[in-house]
Amino acid sequence: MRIIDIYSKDGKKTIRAAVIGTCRLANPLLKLEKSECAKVIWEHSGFAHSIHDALQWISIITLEKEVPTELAPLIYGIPRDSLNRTKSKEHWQRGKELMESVDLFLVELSTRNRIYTDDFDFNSDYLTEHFVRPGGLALLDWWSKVCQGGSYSETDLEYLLESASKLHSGFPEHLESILSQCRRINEKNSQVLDAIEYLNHQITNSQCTIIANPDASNINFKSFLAHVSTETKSFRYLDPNVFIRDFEPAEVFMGEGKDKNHYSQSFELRMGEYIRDFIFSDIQCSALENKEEFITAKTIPNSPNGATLENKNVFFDSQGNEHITVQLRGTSINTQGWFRFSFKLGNGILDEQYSPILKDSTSKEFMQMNETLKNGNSSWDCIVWLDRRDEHFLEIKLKLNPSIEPRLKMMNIELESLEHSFQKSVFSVQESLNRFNPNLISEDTPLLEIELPDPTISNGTGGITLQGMSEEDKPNVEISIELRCESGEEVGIRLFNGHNWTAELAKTSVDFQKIVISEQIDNCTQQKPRINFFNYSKGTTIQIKDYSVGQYKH
Amino acid sequence: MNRQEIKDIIEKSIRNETEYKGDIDERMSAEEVEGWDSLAHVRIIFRIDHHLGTQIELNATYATTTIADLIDLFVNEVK
Repeated sequence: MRIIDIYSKDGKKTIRAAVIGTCRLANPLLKLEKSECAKVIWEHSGFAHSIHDALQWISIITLEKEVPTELAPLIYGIPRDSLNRTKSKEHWQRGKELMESVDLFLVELSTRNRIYTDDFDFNSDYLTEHFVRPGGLALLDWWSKVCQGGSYSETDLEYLLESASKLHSGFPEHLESILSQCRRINEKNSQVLDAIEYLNHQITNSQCTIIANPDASNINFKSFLAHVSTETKSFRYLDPNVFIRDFEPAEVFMGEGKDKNHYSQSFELRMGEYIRDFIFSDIQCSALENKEEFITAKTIPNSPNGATLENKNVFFDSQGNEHITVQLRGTSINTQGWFRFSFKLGNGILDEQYSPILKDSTSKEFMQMNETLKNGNSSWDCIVWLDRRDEHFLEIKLKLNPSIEPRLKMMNIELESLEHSFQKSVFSVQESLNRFNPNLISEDTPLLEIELPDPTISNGTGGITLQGMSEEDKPNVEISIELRCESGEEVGIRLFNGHNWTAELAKTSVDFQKIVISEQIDNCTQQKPRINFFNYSKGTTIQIKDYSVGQYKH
Repeated sequence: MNRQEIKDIIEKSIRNETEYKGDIDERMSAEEVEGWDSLAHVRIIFRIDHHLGTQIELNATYATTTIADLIDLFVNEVK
């Protein structure tokens, strides 16, 4: 937590910012200070990950909440053997006074996970490093249970307390409350928003700017924040990926680009300047948008004269190769969904026996593309599901006619979002190597065809995941699904309720039939409830016409 | 301890912390294992540490992409 005076690029203006977040926010601004573009005027160790960590920081610095020295390792990250580094009362008083003059709260949100007891929010990194790790297996098992939504019986808790007391002499006052009260919840977007509104209420004289974690796995959360910021203007929003995407990952992140939690040292100043320029601008929200554009193209094998992408056309060399793969790199997909990918090729370029096949980089299997002939050109298209991500890659495999021109042109490459189609977001599965591979086979009357995972290599535990449930939810669900198995195979249908499998609830038949499943979902865990298919042979496909899930909470 | 033994411990730790019941392959990344989020990652590493008697630097594990990378990291750590 820092209070920093940040100077505009021309040095004529100053914004005083209360900076709450992690090293992804602190280090870039400290690099600005080294360049004399900012000055830290107050600081205290301690990173914040969640919006509740940030709210707690505001309570601490305004002296509304006092952190007992014993808990300093879990909130400030100060190692137990350095507790003499905690700051004096005068230092905190100074912080409180400076808060009165803050223009801007710059808050980084890295997670929706909240870890807390009745009185305190804990930073998960500090809790694991200073509390769980030194406590050995007993506390690791406890922490696993906390994270997985489990609970301890009173007897187990007493036993745990007794063994943990021997290991943790450092928490004489709070060991029991941590062990018995600590819980972890994964907040819904709306809960995070409520907390942001509460923060806004606390800081009426200052502006609030939220900066997101660049990690792509948070993109659902990030697109939600961007939307709310634009609509309500109650806070400004900055997604650093808008800046990052112009660089190679190895240039931006540590570990040669693999460690998305830490910016490389050489990139920190650039990020600091970017944040500074944003806060001095009038921009309300800077976030990635769906552009459905392709940025670069390359081929395998490599084109000797290079593959070039110009105005939706890719030019590449055939070089006498029988097979060639065209790889297209596209910009961010901010709203997941179905897209129609299409291109045109001059007649006679492809071997007539083989249609092009397409796959998105995260898919395991290629899909066959469909051909339409128009004005002497072949138009190829295919409907593909794309998840949210900062960039995407499509691969198209072509089998070429051997007697073609050496320089080829793939024309009119387009990726078009299909807005009102059957949602596929429910079709995530547990078996990563044996994914269901749903195809949207009819766009007008939505119909999904799914090839079930090969039962000889799959353990059969995947399925249609029930969305929208948070851990610890225990809803009654009513699932309505209209499906068939055209081959006539009687595929068994059952439900995984978060902990256990039901017996067979229904069987598919050759005609469409509507199946209604009413079940109570147990405490949701990390393993999501799902509708599962079993007792079928290899290559079985099912078709789904309609699907809905109603939830009724107790 | 050989690579296979380390791999078994890693796989067991992943299953323990994520409750993942599907197939696990070395080529998989954390994103492909349901339940392997940032909190589970730390617990997985601590559990592997406990079984192998190591105390690996967490930051080093964030730079791994696949389970195979994680296995190789721990193989080097126990050497």
